Amino acid sequence: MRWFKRKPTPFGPDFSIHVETPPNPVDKQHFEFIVPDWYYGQLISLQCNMYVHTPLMNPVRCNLGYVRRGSHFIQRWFCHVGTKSGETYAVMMWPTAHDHWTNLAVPKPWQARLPPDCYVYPGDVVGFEFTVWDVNDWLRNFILTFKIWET
Amino acid sequence: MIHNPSNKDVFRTINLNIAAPGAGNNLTIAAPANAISELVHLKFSLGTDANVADRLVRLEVYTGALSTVISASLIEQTASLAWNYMFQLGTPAFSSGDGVHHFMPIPSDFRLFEGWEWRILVLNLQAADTIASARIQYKLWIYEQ
Repeated sequence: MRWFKRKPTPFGPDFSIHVETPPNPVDKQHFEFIVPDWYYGQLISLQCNMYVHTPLMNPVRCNLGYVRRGSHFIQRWFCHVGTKSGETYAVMMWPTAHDHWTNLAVPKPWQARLPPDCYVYPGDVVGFEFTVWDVNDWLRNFILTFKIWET
Repeated sequence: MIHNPSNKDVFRTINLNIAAPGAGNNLTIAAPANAISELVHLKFSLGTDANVADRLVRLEVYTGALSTVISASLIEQTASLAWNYMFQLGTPAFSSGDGVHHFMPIPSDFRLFEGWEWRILVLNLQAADTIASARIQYKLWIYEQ
């Protein structure tokens, strides 16, 4: 995992942070990131690559993103990717994204919408998962961007 | 600590013309040094040569290690056409009725750091395809020295 922290401006404590995960996680169905104890912030974007192994209807895939505090889900959002067999998608989620895709690029870019005002606090978990999944599918290359304020 | 953006989140707005990368090349724009930057819009034209191919434009951000796809055009540009593209905050993904103006949204608050790049990548780019008239606007926060 790589971290990039914005240096403070002369004007205040406002930072951005950028988190990149290893390209080949052990768990290819779930992703979770635990917010460290030294900041709170706003989730700006969440990006990953997604591979769908089996045909569309066998089964239809479902992807959910979330922020949870313990077992309580603070935010949840649906990622509507029209998954097809054998295809790789670059899923990019942000608050004003349009649920659209383009046909030719590989991986196919696909936008999905995050909740605006998606604030996270120390100990919160930002997650993304296949809730309907085939064992040959995978999620990888997660990149998260937060706008943060120090606690 | 209470954050008060009204008097602390100060930035400058920068507008720049970007030199054409030359025929057959994608466009790369380095994020400014000693600063944080946030794209407001990036526009350019793409002229396609006579080769039959379906070009598709996408915007990526390169972080020094990974590229992340930000947004992409909706439809393919075929041979011998001159189209204009605009990646812009808040715009709907849209191809105008005149067929030559194409709009793609980008995320707000997506900040770039020194050493990062904006990249316009054209799928199926041909040898004489040309990106030109590129212009960028971004917000800029200067590092504390």
